[in-house]
Amino acid sequence: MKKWIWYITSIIFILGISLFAYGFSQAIAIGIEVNRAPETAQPAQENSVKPQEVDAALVMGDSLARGTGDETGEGFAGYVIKGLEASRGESLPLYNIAVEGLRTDALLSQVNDPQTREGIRSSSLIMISIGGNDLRAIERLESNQESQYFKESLDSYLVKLDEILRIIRTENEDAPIVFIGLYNLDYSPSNQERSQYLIDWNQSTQRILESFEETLFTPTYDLFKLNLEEYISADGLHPNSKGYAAIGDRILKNLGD
Amino acid sequence: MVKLIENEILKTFYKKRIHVIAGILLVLIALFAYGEHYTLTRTQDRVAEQLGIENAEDWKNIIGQQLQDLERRLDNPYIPDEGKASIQVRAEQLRFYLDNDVSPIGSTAARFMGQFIEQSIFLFLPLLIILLAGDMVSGEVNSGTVKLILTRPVKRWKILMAKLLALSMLEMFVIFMMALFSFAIAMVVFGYSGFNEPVITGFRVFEGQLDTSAVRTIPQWQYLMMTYAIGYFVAFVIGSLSLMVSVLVRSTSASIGIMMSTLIGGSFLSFFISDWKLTRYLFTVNLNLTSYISGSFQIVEGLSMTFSTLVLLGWSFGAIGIAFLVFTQKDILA
Repeated sequence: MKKWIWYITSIIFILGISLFAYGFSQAIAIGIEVNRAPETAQPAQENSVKPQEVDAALVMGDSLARGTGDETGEGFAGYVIKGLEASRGESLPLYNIAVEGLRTDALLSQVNDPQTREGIRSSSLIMISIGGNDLRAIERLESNQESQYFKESLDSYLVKLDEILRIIRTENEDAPIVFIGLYNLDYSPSNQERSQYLIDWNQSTQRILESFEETLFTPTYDLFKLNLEEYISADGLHPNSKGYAAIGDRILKNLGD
Repeated sequence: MVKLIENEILKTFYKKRIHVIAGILLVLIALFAYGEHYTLTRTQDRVAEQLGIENAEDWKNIIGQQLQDLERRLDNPYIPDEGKASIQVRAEQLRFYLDNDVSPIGSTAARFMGQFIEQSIFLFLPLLIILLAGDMVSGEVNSGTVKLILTRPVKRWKILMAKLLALSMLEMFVIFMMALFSFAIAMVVFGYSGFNEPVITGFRVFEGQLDTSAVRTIPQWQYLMMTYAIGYFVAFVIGSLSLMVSVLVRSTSASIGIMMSTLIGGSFLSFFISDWKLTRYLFTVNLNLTSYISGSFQIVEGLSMTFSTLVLLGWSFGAIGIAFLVFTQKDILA
């Protein structure tokens, strides 16, 4: 008689049942909670905490504005703020509302949002990095479609950029707007055609910016050209902390404050 | 009564049913683990290549950056509280990877155990249980031993009850083997247990939109306990259905065949007529209970954890009721 088979199955059964009774009741609890309708969201005006300080800096745009790739997590905006705080001797809060992978159309709708408008109104410095993701789609195209695509996306980009700057200026007439130009990832002459697009893009951007008061176009194209190895992070796309510090440095010098 | 149950369990072991199931489990888990390992190494290579990093150790930098980014986002007054909940959950997970030196693109024994039960709960596990339960009664009829049993001075309902309880214990044994084998094999292949790793749960779809406000993390062992408990529940439901069919039908092969075709046909049906309301009351549609806690999407709208559990319980009790009714009334002639 193999009595041990009986014992083992009994022990496993008793242990298992007690364990699973607990597990199953928890699973049901989670299942019920998942199924319950969430509480209706309150209107945004009531539950949002708005930054009331008149003196704050705002940075918006794509992953570059967010600081992706920086091992210290600062991003160029972080370095700018640090520099400003050091020279002014007072703290300056920074609000980073940048979103990775953001394109110009998404930034336009973000800027249109009442909450962002409120933030723009209460900022004394606004920094923007946008357009890199709009232009980067060109890399996936066949070379014969490139110039057509470039023209179209540049045109629509400029219209939206103009709109964004206009909104910022209606909300806030005098805060300096710093715009970060695009850098290249391949400066070699074999990539000349695409580099040309990038230069065109930057120049058109600068032209739009110059039609507004108190705007600063900060080029990065030249900054990265000879320092590419040193300034690009492990992902091969975003700057590392050195690269961001270099951009921040340049902005600080331009602000001259 | 205990003697009767013990007897039933020993019969199953002597008939080598458990050995067959253990063999199937071992082979399948080994294959599954190998496949998982193979895809993982390839994914790791691809990810490393994409990120431009030399070896898999560099993932720490990238995760560290993501974590910092999330933490900064938490300080951001522009992000509403609902959004912050999901950021917090994600950050907690990333922190675990860093603190415990576990690569998020790798796999652990615990993760593998969870995946295995999630993948097998709606087809593979039921098939094993059908194999186990299909001949509980019809096997006795087949071999004629049923006459020997029924001539004993034991009430018929007691005999069937002993079979049902023995089956419940054997189902637990199968679940136990499943957990043990998948843990042991995955431990050999992946080399890290990872029972404390936080798992994200609580996703819900509300009015067509993914709602993350209820998202939270629970440790992996707790998640496994829940999924395996659900696995046992499903095994019990399938077991009682098989027992009923086994009472109704005389031959073992017919009993197993009927259950298998119902199971497979039922899951086909749910794919083809998912907008027909009545299909949600089929037991096959409701077997995938783990998807409610893991946050996978549902095929049929309007299903929920409670609904599925109740439907399965209904099927199970109905089947047990019919089985007892028929077994106590039926003339055993053959």
